[in-house]
Amino acid sequence: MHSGDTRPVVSMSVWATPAPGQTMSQLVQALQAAGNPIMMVDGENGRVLIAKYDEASTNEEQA
Amino acid sequence: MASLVVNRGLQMAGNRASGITGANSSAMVTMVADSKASALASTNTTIAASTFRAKAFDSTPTRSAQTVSHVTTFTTTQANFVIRRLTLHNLTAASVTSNSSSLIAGIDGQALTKTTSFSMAVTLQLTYTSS
Repeated sequence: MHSGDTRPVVSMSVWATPAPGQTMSQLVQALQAAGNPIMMVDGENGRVLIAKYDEASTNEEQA
Repeated sequence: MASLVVNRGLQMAGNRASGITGANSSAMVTMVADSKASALASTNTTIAASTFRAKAFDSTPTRSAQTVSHVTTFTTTQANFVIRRLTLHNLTAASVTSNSSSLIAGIDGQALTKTTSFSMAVTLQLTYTSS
């Protein structure tokens, strides 16, 4: 975080989705084998959250 | 880890909002994943990274209230390296280079290992209010 700034805020989410023919279970295994974090498995939409950043939420949590 | 709209990005937003044409008045169209470990700095104008992948947004960005969302999907064959930064650029993907003055904003401090085993959909949002 760049304290003292009054700039617009950038936030991010990164979702991994399976390669063709890959199951969700195989996707999770592949992500773990590569050392990526598993933050949330969204089976309904066939994706896995592997990174998230929200400066506003982070600030609230720190306040 | 930090997020930052660099000075060049603020200038671009000002130019576009006030209809100022010329240098640095093009809209953002590209997302870049790169492997550089350095933190973004407000005076940065380039990624200056030796390993990177530039790709156009999947579709036109969308806005909800003060937040604009930009989405790019890196397929199984793309960006297969350790991704440390994700950034937005106002230059076409084909024209973005390590030293192109196109950097607008981004997130640093990541450590995502992209492989051929999965695709990766990245959403970068800009909220036009201070944190």
